Amino acid sequence: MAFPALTFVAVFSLYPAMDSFLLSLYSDFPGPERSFVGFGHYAELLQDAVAHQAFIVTLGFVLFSTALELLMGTGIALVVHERFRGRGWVRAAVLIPWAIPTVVASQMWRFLLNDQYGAINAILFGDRVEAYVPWLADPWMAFGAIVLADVWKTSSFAGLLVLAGLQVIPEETYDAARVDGATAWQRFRYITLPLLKPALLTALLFRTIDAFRVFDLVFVMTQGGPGDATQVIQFYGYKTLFTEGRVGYGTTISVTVFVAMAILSLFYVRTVGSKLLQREPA
Amino acid sequence: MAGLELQHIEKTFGRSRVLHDVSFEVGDGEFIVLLGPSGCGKSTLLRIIAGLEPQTRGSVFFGGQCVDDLSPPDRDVAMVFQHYALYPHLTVRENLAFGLKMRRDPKPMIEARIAETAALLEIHDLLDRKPRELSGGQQQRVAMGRAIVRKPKLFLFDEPLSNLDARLRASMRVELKKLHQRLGTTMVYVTHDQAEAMTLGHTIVVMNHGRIQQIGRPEQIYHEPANPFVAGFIGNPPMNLFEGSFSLDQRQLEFRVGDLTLRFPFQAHELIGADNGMATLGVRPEDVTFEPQGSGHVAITGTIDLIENLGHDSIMHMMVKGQSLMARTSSSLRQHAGESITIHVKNFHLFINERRIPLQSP
Repeated sequence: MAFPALTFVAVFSLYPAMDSFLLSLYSDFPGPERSFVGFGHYAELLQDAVAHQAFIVTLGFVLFSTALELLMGTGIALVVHERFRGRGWVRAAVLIPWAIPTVVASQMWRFLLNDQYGAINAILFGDRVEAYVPWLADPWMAFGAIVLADVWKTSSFAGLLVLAGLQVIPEETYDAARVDGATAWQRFRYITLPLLKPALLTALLFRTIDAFRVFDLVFVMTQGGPGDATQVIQFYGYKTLFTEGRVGYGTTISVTVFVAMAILSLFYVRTVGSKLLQREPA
Repeated sequence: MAGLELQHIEKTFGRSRVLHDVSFEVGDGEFIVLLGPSGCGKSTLLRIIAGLEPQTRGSVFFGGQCVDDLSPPDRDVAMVFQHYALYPHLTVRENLAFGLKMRRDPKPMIEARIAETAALLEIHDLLDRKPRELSGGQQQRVAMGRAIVRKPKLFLFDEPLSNLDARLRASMRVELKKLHQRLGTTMVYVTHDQAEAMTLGHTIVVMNHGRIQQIGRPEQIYHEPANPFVAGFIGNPPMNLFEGSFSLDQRQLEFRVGDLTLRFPFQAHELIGADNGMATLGVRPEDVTFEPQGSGHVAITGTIDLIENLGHDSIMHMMVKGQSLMARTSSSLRQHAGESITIHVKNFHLFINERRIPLQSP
């Protein structure tokens, strides 16, 4: 019974991964005249200032977007966990951004932030066209914009995971805490938050890994600009491979990201995951 | 410590009313049991007493003082929950300390209280464990410890033993009773288990459909049930209840159900002058004997349907003219299913219009 699954994994995961790795060991231009360069591209990557910059931008993106998404997600989860009239609608509404394809959402944010006809400038400054801000032309604001777009889009997903965590905390536990004299804040601080830890860690795991792979937002909204301000590592790899045609080096970047992700996932699964599997809410 | 008084408590959830005009009083240091089937409103009533749920109408008094506007901690009650509701991420020690920390008791006092409670409940070995490392019975102890450690004015128990197996339940019942004798604090205990109610309560409040059916001492509830519901709910096996019609004839009462007619020499003074009418007649399985003893017994002959052997005694199911009847018998009874048997009933319960009518021997 394992054979079909193994075949599937071998053909669609193992083979491409191995082939990419092999590609990264050869000179940039494929064809009969390509030459074996060993780990030459990897050595180059270590020296590549643009790659370093892209790595730092990616880290920054992961840090800010994940932190904000967990914060917003927890807020969303706490709200839709409450009983109130129309909760079903609110729950559905909250999930809409997540249901929109990233490319569409990115395009939407690009329109909203457009310096000439964007809705955000129009709302902020109305007819005072001279005050319009070219949001995506400023390095920091452009970076902020991709973080904002990602937070807008994925907070509800984090919220969904946190909500699942909230729902398994029995109501009786809160009753006990109320009888014990805990205020609403103390109940949140000493009961909800610690019991939510597994859910928060799960959300963190999903979100960091996902954020590391960010590509489409940048591709649509900024093309890595202005300058290299929003050039994340995946976008840099894409550009190197497809725009500059450096197959070997571009693949090297991808493989490096892949290995980094694999290590991060393993680390998470070993630490967070094992705790989750033990169902230990500690 | 304080007595408890409920005055005309009513509770509605949306359009459904779950408590109707509930009033009763509990003396200081008394153990009162709220007994009823699930959905009768007893747990809601307990939550109202705790302050976890606001009542729609009526008032709650502790020691003569109205506590309607007080939050649960200000009421100074402690509650033991059905599923224990221990804080799963905290050790037993931290679970016990939680309430004390919340009210900012000094650290040495917290330590002392924990030590005292742990000794009382014999849980010192468990103090550094997490709840999931404990058995059901141990968790139950810790849940009780968490209530005791705060030295509240009032203990509230919401079916605390219902998740334990039968043997553990019986031993915890005894411990709970000892605990009450030792602490002397007022306790309100919710259960659907009549054995718990009978063994633990000084007073039992029997509830059904959000209304009080009867308040009384355990033996009173058993021997003089106020209505057919209480009669059928208390007792195991339950009381045999027959719905039929009655008529009075000088010195005896005649009861008819289907083809069965029972005449017995009891007199009900309240019924003198009453017309014939509908009534419910009750016979406790324990009030059946197999030898005539003295006067005032009514002999009934029927066939044995089935005998359930319970070891010390047996439950005999019999048919009497189309009516089924259960009797508790000694196991030494040498009869078998299908045989004819004559039983003697020494005591009857009569209910008319859902109300108990006292019967006197003439």
